Amino acid sequence: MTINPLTPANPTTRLTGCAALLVELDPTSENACAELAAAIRIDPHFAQMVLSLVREEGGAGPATSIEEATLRLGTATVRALAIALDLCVTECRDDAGALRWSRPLAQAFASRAISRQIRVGVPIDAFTLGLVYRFGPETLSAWRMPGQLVQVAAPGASAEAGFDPNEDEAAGLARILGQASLIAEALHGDPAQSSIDWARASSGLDAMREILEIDRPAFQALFERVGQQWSEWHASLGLPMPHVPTLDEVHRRAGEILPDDDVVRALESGSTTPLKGLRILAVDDEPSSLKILERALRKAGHDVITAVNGSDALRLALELHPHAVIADWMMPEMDGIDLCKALRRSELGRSVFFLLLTGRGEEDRIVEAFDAGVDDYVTKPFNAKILLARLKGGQRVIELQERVEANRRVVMKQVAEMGLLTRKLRNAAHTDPLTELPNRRYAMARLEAEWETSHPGGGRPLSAILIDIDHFKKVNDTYGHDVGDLVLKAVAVALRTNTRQGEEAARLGGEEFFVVCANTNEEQALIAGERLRSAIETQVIHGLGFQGSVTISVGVAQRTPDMTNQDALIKASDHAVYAAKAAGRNRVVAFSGIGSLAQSA
Amino acid sequence: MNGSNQTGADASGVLDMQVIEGLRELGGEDEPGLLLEVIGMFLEDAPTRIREIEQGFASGDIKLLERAAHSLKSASANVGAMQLSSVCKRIEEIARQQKRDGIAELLPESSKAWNEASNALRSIQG
Repeated sequence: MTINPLTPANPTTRLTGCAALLVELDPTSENACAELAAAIRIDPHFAQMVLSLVREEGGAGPATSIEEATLRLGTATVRALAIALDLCVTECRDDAGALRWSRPLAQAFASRAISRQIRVGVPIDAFTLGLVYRFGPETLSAWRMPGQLVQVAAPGASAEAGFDPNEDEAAGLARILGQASLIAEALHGDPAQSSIDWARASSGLDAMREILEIDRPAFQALFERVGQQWSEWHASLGLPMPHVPTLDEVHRRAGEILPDDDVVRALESGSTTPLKGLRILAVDDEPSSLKILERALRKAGHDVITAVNGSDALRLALELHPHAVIADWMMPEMDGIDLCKALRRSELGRSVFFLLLTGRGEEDRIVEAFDAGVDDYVTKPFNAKILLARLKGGQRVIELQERVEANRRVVMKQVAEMGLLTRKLRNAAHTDPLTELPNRRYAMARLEAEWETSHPGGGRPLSAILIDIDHFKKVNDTYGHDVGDLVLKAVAVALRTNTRQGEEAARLGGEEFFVVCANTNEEQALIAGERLRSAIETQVIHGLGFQGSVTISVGVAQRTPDMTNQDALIKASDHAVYAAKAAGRNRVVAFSGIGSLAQSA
Repeated sequence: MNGSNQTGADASGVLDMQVIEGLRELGGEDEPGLLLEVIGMFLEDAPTRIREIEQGFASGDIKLLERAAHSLKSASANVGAMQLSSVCKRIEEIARQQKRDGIAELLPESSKAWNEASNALRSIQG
């Protein structure tokens, strides 16, 4: 698989600002680390973005500064990331630029996630490469990006199926980039088209999961995490918010194609028109055998795709959905039996008719082949007439399967439509339309659910964080409601990006936000509250003629045995916010720390 | 194509002419070059396989030996070189049991079969 060319990058791209400084910076010089950090910190908002990307990388516990992250990851890696990111942020300030960066962002997050998942390459390098590989090797080399990135950006860098643990870094990155483009295609669509080809995206993702050997739940989590990060960055870069499909949605929409008219007619009449020619994937590592097989099948009117090894065949089968696979048994690495097993594990491969070619002397092992899911076999050197006759037997099975499949698709489509409608309604009822955060109703339901499973004295503590934007009325009165809304949205994005697993942020209404912290005690919730406070304080909000930042007052409370229901916990966090305001705002206060205000608890 | 009549006697001693005719028929009118193409592929690929068989035997790389013999077994059968195919089959069967016994005696046989088959096939190529 060669990496898809993207919309060409602007060839006259000139670096400005921080990136221009960084290009001049020699990553091997003595002060490189300090100079790098200084250049990045010129814009605090930008510094925050860089830190949010590198913080979790390359060490135990999050890094707290650019310097620390640079020491862990190396100056070259952080420098390359900062150049790429600065270019992206700068270009996103105008609409045309913004459109160019949506797909690279998807590519970047997907590359990082894949690199982490399969433990190949440096995740941050994969991220950087995803952002800028379309600029090509000359440009990347002019920016003095690390050699392995320049190498991968060269046209024709191939990303074949399968991962070799001994391959070099550039080859690993090339493969990651190739796989990441499948995710980008499902999120953003093909670079050459504006819309998403769901069928293609769905089979691409299926193939990718097989190739990366990731189980279904882990792959779903990976896909959805990438989608969420991608969408969050749209929000923080001010790009139009994209629709982020779930993996189920991709597969469902791929299945939504109405069955062909003649299939529907056949369904009604109870029989299908016989398929004239089949789409057949022929697999053999021995070229003359493959040639003869291909010719025999073509001559009989079938459509033939060929592959010379098992892993190519697997990828092609999942991409092109052949009706039948005819494969040689003995092939190096992935043999015919392994190919059949791998296909039978996938949704698409389960229904394909699989015919195995066996050599003389292999008949005694044929039971093994049937156990692996092979439908039929023919002995080599095969007689073309016998092979075609066997295939005709298979064709009846295939036609029957097509009919069942068409039937299933009609039913699935109806079920899916119902499901989609229900989900849309449910989402609307639980989402705050302005900030797209969960709303009060959702927050209360969530809190109630967590309340049920938490133990105030024992193993599973529960905490709540209540947040109120300081002097929000003043912002509204001075700059108008539009700027007020902008501030609310920016705070929402900061909350969403800075909450961790188990912390769920919601907007209660007005300038009030709430975070349910499952399995979290007060001490941990205080740390979370401080993380949110400092993120919002350092975030520069700009737009509509406004530029500045806001602060928040944060109240933290933990469920204690004397609290009878969740309202008591909310009330406690409310008292804590009040105390934070009274103490001068822009601070985090714990309910247990105010003591004397316990009268109403 | 007409050349086969003159060389038929020569080739038929070594090659299974039914296989050759089968290929000619498979090519038919719309792909008349198929026979020569398959022969060409075989003549190009087989020396490598023979080298691998010898190499595998000499170095004790049984896996390589088995794979090369298997591949050459199919390839030679495709062009009717049945003698070569059957020697390869015997080599493959021994190698599959992780052994080398008796292969030493088969090697001269395989190289003799290869020489005869390649000469016969070249005569068809004309």
